[in-house]
Amino acid sequence: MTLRDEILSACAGRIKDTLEKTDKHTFENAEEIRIRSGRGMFIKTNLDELAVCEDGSLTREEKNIFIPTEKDIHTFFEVMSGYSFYAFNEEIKNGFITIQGGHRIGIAGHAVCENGKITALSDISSVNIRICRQMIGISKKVIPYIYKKGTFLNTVIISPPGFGKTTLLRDIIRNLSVSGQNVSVADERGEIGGCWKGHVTNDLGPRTDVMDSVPKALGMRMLLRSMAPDVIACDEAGGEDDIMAIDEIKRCGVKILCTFHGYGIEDLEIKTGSDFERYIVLDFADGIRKAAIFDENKMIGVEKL
Amino acid sequence: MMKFLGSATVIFFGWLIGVLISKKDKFKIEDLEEFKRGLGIFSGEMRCTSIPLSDIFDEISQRCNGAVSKLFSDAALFAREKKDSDAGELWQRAVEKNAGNFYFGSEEMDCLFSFSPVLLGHFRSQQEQGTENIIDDIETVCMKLREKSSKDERLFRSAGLLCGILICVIIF
Repeated sequence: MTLRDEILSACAGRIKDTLEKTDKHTFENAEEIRIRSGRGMFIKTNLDELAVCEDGSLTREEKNIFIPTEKDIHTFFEVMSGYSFYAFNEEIKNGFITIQGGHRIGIAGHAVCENGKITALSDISSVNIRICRQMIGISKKVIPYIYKKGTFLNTVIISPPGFGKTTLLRDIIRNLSVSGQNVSVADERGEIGGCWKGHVTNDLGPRTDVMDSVPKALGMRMLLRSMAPDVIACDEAGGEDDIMAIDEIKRCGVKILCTFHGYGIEDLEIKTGSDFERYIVLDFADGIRKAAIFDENKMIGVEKL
Repeated sequence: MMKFLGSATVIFFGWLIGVLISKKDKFKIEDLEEFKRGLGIFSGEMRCTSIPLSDIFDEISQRCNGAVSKLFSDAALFAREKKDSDAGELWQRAVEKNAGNFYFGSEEMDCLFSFSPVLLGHFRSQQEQGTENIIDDIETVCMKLREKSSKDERLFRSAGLLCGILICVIIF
């Protein structure tokens, strides 16, 4: 199944009809599909963001663009969740669900709160499909930096959203697994493994165990006890509990590989106070993705990915 | 001898028709009980497994019998087709397709249709509460049917027997 088929098979109604009319190469560079009730549907690539017209063509103008209605979004979301809202209750409270293939569907609408916590999200008005893409081999140039005398070093990947943290993380996991390390992944959002009904759909290598839909800290602690891993990986750590779990793992002699939102090592230090042996800071400009690799003291290399 | 055999046959069939008519409510109760069982499975699967709706319907279809099994099997198929705008619509379509397989009257059909808005609920607790309400409704309908059935059963059997005797008197 191609990426296009994967996305289209999850869609429904007028939104699907319009996406089906788009050129078959449209999805090749797409990173996000943003759908806003009463405003339009936009496809964001690594260079541009274009509106989708009724006839499936893409434009920078705002004339004759496809305007999804509230009902279109409701139908789209019903079908996308497999008519199974109940199965995504916890995810919906966090504002997203993950579908087959690891694509993350972010949602915005009317939030119902109780005691400062979101208990429900209804009247969904905006949807953002973040397309999950495997880029096998993207970590090839980075790998030599994150090993010392054949031992993997505690590594963190830092970048703002949309710069490819998860894609790089996924490929490093695959490489570690192929090289003989037992890797355990706490995949809270199901994005790393693209888990569907508990089965990993992305290539994470032969020695990788994935626990999905579990809070990262809890998942990491469980995996530490149950799977005897060499390396534990997780995406977008940052909460207090995540940092405590990471420190515990490091103290147990198990290596850690994770990602953080931020622009540099300073952000990480402010947020966590936790130390790593390698820092990979991603930068993305003019369609070129670069990784700057640091040890505890200084930059040790820059690689174009 | 021929008259005797003929009379016996007519009376027997009269009685049999009476029995079958009297059993109609029992068939309704059986189907409703089966549907109630299906809803119980739905509630449990939804609470404990978080598997997609189509898989839950398949599971119910395998664990239930008769018309209810076919109903859930069709609903699972419709959920996979992804042609309906929401879960309520697909359930309604499945019930309409399978209406002929049940002995139900309008009150019992309402029990089936009332699952439609429950499926539209966005939250597990909402759907669980809705399912419980339908189960309560089914129990009420079943109780009424049982009362009606116990009264009607003797009536229809006797009426069938009497009809058989009457036909014999007229013919012979």
